[in-house]
Amino acid sequence: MKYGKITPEIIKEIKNAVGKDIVFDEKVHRMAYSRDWSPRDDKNTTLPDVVVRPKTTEQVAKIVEIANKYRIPVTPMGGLTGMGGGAVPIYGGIAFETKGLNQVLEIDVENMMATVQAGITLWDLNQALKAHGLYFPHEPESKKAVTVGSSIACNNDSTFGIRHGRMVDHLSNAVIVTGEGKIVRVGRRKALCSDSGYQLNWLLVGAEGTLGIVTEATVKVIPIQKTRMVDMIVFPSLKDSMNAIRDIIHSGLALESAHINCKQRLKFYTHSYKEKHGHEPEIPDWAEALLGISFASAEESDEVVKFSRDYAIKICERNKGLIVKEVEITDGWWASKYTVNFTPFKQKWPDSQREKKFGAVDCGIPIGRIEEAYDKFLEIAKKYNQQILGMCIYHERPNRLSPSISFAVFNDDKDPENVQGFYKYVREMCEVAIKLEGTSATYIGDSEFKTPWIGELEHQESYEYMLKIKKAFDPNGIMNPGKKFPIQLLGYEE
Amino acid sequence: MEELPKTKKHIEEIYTCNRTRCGFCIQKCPVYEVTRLETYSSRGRTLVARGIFEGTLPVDEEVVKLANTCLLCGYCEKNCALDNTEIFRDFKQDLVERGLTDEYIEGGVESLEKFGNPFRQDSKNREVPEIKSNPKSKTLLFGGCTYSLTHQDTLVLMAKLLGDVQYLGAEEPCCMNLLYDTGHMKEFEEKKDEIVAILKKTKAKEIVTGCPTCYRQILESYAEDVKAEPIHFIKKLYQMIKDGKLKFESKEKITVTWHDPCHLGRFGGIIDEPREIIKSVKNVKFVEMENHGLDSHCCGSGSGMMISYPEIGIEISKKRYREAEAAGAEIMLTFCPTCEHTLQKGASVIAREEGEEEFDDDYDFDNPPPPPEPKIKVLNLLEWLLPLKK
Repeated sequence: MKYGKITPEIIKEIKNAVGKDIVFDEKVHRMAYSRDWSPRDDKNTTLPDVVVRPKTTEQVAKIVEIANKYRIPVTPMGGLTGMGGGAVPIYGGIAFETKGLNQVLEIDVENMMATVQAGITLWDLNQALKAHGLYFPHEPESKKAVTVGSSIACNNDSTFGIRHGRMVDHLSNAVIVTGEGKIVRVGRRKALCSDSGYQLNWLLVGAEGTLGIVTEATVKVIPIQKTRMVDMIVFPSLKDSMNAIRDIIHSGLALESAHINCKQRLKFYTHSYKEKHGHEPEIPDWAEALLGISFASAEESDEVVKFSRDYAIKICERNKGLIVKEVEITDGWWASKYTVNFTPFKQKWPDSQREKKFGAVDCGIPIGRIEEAYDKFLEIAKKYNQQILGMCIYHERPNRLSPSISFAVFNDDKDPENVQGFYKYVREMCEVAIKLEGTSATYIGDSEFKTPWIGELEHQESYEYMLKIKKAFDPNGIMNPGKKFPIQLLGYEE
Repeated sequence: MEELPKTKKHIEEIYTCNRTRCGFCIQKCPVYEVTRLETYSSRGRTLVARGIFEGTLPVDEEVVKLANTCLLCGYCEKNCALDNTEIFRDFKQDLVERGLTDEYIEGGVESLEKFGNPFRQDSKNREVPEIKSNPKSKTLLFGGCTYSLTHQDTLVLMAKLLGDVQYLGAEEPCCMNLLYDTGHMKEFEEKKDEIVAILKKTKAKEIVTGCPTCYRQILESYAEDVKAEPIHFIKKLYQMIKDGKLKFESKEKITVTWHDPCHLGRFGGIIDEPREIIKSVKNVKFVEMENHGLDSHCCGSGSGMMISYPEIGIEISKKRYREAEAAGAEIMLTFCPTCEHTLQKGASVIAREEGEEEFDDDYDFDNPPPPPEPKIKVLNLLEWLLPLKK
């Protein structure tokens, strides 16, 4: 069986169902929706056949219903900043621009809950919450482009993961349109925990749009944080920096962020330092790990954050840490992770990617085996001719060491062989992660690149049950095909 | 013919954007906010350019529309390390040179050819504002087509305050920004020498203009050859107030905001002066709109948008009005004939939409009631200011 092809008649049918003003089949629009942030070589471009930009759940349902009837692939799209091709319409079909679903539906101050259409960007949601003194602490670096829905779909990282967790901790209720075009409400309404039935709201987190399109979400919010202190500390080993975080958490302090950068990765954040001093900062030879931390409080007074910060520095020093005094180094890191206020706007992204393409694999490694994984990273990246950019360890579950790791490299996207080398590097790193009793994905997902081999490598016998879940939501396998399951498992041929 | 040779000069920048995809340009791009499609953002536009280079899509009328729906307002460039406005200006030029133009903009271009201004006004027989010109003055008052033709009062007020000026009246050339911002660079270059010669002949040391577009164009394209300093009138006004020569007071307490024209603020760097002027007026409370200063939003008319795609331009203008409303302003001030006109249009559309009532039986179709007045007035800074003179 093959996927259905979009025809002028089908486009007409869609237009009749939802109005012609949200359906775009001109080539310029199809081109603009052909790419995310994933490394791919120049020849690897696939265009959707049509772009739709619905404004309501009902419109989404009507379009998916038609797609399902003709077995047309559907690719939901959010911020389009994903790193694994998760939102690339690799089998063509319909691209769903979800950013048209951008309304705030309710800000419930008393219950500290916000209900939104899922295409709203994280940035816009926080603008709306500000007026109520509230704040949504999910903070990926891409927050200006990324939507609530794509954060659910990709379970992306948050700068403040170690304090507030990420989408799986925030999402209370959701509305999805399934692969059959049915509108289903899942979750626990505004209750903060539930034991009833299966927690389908959790199932959606990280599903990469393969079960349906999330159109509405209710998320937990917190009071605006009014005071904050940010520091960087260098350590002689990765292990020392991990121990410092562990000790800070168990001392009773509430860390807001804790990121460990290997020495090489720091160069990614030194633009403000270089701007001021004209050269790269001199990091002591013995330093192998750089830990960035922040403490924040909803109190007007900075007493809480000051005490926390001073005590945490003491713990770091006890673990052989040395505080970084050059404020520009800390600022450069913090501008990347939180303020996104780069002055001048020569931020790490464009300037670092003028020649080469950023790429990363996002393995999760058990806390005691980070150094082993790091050594393997250096070895495997070299083997596939990938330029090493460095490792950054985020911690993404509240109040615990919970490594979500970016093993980052630069590759040459003008050289198809080097891009293929990157895909091989991803695979081999995932094999290492599994060997170390970890996992292959922590924030990018299975996406396009891991899908062909992920079942065999990571899931084995449980993959079959996952496929059953997939089919329950999307019997014809039209939702984001080529992601999580190779299309052959859904009964299709290339 | 080679596909887009001028744009191709930026191929490295374009591929860098495709490689980066941070999406900071999408957040608040005025055109994206109205169209809500990636395509119209900077990141979408560069991807389309790449598609053309790689032969994935042809240069068709949709591409022409895409090129002409960039305001060149510079908002995305402020949030990016790449030279977006340069890229998209060259993109327009490539299309113009292939004969792929927008019919409405072509009307303006033809008028520049024929009449020397974009408004089809016969320059020789046009009505010139009554301004006393001293041909020996080292200060040239450059009226600009729009103030000279449609907002003469503002120009007369400016001349009055400046005192001794040289003014070219019907001989004054157009700054040719319409050619520059719509990609008619060949035509622009052809006119350049002629304009430089006219300006040089005045022997002026400074060229004062009230139009931010003329100001920027003189600054970027003519000043060096003419050897005269372009000055926006706001700077002069600011100095007069600072020197204590002018003092203003409002009888009633009033809340006022300032709209930064793109050519004046983001490109011209004149951001604090108008605010200081407004704050100097007694009984006036100054408030900022959400998007202001370097982050200000276009009025909706950049690059001839109100000529070619008014349905997009008017929505951008309406959003600006809503920002003023959210800031609690009663008056939105600016100093740009195009911004003034466009924002007034947006305001009146909102007033009409809000004032829409059902026709009842005794509605007099022969003598309809006057259109409703917008709640927030859009005014030229100088016109608002002078009646408040102490």
